[in-house]
Amino acid sequence: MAKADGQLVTIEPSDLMPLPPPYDEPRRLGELSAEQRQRYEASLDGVLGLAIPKPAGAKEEEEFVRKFLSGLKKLLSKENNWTFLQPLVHSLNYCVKCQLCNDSCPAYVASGKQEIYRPTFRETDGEQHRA
Amino acid sequence: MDVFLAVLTYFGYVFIIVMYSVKAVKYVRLPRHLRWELYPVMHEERYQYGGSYFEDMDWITRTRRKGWLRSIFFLVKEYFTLGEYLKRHKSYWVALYPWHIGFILIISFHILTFFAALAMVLGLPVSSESPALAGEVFYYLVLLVGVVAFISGLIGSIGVMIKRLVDYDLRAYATPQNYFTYLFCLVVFLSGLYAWAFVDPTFSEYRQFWVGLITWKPVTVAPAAALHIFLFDLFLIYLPFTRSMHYITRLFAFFLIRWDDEPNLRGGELERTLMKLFGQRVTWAAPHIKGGKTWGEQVKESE
Repeated sequence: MAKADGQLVTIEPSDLMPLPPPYDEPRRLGELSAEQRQRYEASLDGVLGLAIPKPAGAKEEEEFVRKFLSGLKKLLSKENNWTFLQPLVHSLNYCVKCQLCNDSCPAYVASGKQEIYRPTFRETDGEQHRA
Repeated sequence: MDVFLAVLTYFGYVFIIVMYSVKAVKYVRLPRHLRWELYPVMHEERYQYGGSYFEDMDWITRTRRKGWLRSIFFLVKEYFTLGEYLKRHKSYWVALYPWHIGFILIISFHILTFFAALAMVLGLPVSSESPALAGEVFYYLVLLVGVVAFISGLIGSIGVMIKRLVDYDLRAYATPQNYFTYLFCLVVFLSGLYAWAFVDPTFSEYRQFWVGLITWKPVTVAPAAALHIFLFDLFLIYLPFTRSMHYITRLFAFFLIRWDDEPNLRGGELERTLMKLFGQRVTWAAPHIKGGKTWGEQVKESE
């Protein structure tokens, strides 16, 4: 999903949903240093939530992908994910992409409707779809 | 050709019923999940503000009363009005509504035609001049439901296709299968409307076709009617490979996920179910997870 040359979106304070005082003065989020950007994956929106490290090389990248796919498989197993399996399977198999859920998603709405936070987000043809 | 059409029709109906049944059983047999705490829960007495029986301190001593009729009425209303779409995306509703009504009515049309044909097999004449009131009722009901189904479904198929193409948000998340489905629906409804308008204006031929199916004596129908039957049969076979079953799984989602508010009582069935699930072994890796241990062991050893 990441672009080779940077991040998918940059969130400006003016994009965000206005908040009541004392949070009504929007502040720009701190920028990551060049060294942090080199070490960690921040290509979604320039913010680190989980500090996922960037792979050191092709072999490590392959290992990351393998672990990701293994994790996805486990998400769909009842031993590892009985807690959320039925709702997950329902979403995966029966969502018709009507986009009606978007305005119920606080992350999407509060971000100023940034495309990457849309509940049904995916990239199309290598380009991020913009509303 | 008569035999082919009859066999294809039997196959189409059996196929869709079997496939939908298999999928429904698979869905319902998925393990009990954690509660999603989603409100409003329609069977609750305090559903108007998203309330819950937990608001009563002594809820555990009381017999819970669930408003099942209210839940059912809510779902029936949703199915027949698509109220959420009307509220949140009116221009989409304008196309979606006739399309869905077309589906509901084409199913009803086939059910009514089956029962009308059965009545004919049992000796009841079904026509506008039937000596029996039931015969007249069947005749007009099949006619009305069928015609409205074809017109509504045709308008809806065109409408949703256009809407998916012109709406920025819908277009980005549309797949080739979406457009194929809209086109397929359009052809099915259009062929039905054509057959009615030019070949079978009273649906008597269609009723005779169903008489032939019930009595295992296939009948010949006009080419236009045969084409519609053929396309509808293919449509029945195609549907299980789409997300069309959402109109059934939606019911499961409401009752099993959104409105699931059963308390976990000591010695109760939910507790027994959960204890079994806790006995499963976790295989995903994380710093806080002890690989290979059961859910129950994970919790105990972290205490």
